[in-house]
Amino acid sequence: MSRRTAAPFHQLSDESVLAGPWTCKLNGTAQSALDEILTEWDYGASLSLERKVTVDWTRAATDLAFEGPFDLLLLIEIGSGRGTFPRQVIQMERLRLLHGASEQIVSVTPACCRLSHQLSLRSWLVLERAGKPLDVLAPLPGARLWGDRTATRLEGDDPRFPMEVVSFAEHFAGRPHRFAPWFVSWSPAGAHRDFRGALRLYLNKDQPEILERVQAQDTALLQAIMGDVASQVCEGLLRQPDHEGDLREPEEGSLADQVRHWLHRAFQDVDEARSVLEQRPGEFRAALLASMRL
Amino acid sequence: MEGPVILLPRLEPADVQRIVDALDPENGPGHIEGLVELPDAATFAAVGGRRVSIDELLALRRAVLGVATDAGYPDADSAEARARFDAAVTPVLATSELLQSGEALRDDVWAFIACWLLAPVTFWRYGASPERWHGGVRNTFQRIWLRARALDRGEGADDRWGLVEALTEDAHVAIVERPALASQQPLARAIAEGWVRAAAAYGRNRMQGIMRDAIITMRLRNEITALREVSPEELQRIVDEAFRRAGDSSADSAAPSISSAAPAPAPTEPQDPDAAGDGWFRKALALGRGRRR
Repeated sequence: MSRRTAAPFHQLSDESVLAGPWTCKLNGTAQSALDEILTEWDYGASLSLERKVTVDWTRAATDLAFEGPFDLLLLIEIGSGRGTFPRQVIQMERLRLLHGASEQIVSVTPACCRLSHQLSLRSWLVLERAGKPLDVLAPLPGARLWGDRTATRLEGDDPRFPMEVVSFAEHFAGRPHRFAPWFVSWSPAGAHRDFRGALRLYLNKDQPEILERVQAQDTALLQAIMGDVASQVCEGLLRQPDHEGDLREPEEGSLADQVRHWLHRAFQDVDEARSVLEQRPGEFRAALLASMRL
Repeated sequence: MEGPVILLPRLEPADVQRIVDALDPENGPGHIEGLVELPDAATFAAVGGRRVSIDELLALRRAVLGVATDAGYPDADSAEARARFDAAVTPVLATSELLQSGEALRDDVWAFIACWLLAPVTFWRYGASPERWHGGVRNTFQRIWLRARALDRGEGADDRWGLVEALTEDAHVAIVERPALASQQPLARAIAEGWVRAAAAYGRNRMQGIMRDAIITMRLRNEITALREVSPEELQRIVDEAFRRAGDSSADSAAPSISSAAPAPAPTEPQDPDAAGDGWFRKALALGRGRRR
């Protein structure tokens, strides 16, 4: 399970939940593993997905500090739209797991006409009926005890990192950066927005030698590009007092969240990063650049 | 949804930026009533539906121009006129047959709508501010559609769009620009209803800071509790408690009470989620999470 927030109650360990991978059936083909990209998808497709979930009830009781029976609810959130979090949860499936239930197969059939960019599947095990608690950290009904997330891209037209190859002479004619090999479009005002919507890296088509080196995965160049992206965005947010809250409690998948992640790669914490930036800006840049080494 | 999906034109960000850069800062994009040919840069999905007709696009344009004109477009230059427009165009976009499929989740579709279909209205509403022309949660029309989706009380409801009209722009942004909450319609609606009650208790002028704190509480609470699964009464209690705590701790609080329920458990420090990555930026970017130093 991917845990982002530590809950103030017991949760299920990964050993208590055996959740198989999602499989899919697209347009009547045989059931197969759900790939990173559903290349044959379109709005008119027929799609069904399933996975198997098994709970080790004995181990779960120990995890949750319950004595006696308890029931769980398996929730499947089907979402779509660009971003780490889907723009819209278009469908919910619920499956009650009564205490002691054996392996469950959950099936979902999302309406393809409502999907876009990606299909997001979030699975949760939620406590529906609590057992007799053995300590004060035993969870209450409604508590999220376990979860995971799977996302698959649709149409294959959206790279995960928001970037685009364009002719700068054409698209940025007359602008000072038209001769730059790359350009990062972003704004500090977008700190709480989804990362993929808040930032875009443009590579200059007019400089084919740069594109060739990027496509050949020239590590020094990729490091330089990523170092530049991370430096300017991190500096931009650190220098703005308005974003102190965004960096302390960033929303998952937001630009601020990504900045926090970049800063933690290079520094102990956000405060250390800010201090180094203020007092030794050259070291700040070099530290971020070093953290981007592939 | 009945019938094939109606495929809408799309505009890439670089093309949008060219359009924005070419805007006359005084007069904007000019008239559109006679503009009936799609721009060369517009693209469509390759398969999966039928392309929208020009007549269908023009019908949407006429509907939006109608409510814009009633609100004061193009001459009125007041926040009140623009707010009137936002409220009036909400049902037009929310109920448009063209915008009921996954096409309406695409930023490039909304970029087309702002940059070509309704460009003068975009300019009247927000001038040349690029984020209002680009697709995304701040696009002039996409933001309206997203908040309508999140806060719709439902067909047949009394005052179906009442929440859309009641909330301030800041309150809308606080909900819609946080997909963890906005994507869950019952949760977004409950928060908006709570905002209305809190605004009555604390005053609208104080709500920006209160909403910011309440939203953080609700977001963190939803990470550990499946708020969508609790009863409507319990959800209302949780929402009111979040606003009450935020209101009472705000700088010049007079501590009016919305709810007297027990406080929610305090959120704890975040932990590292699993690593993820993609393509040739996989190792450097680690868009999920990497190891801490």
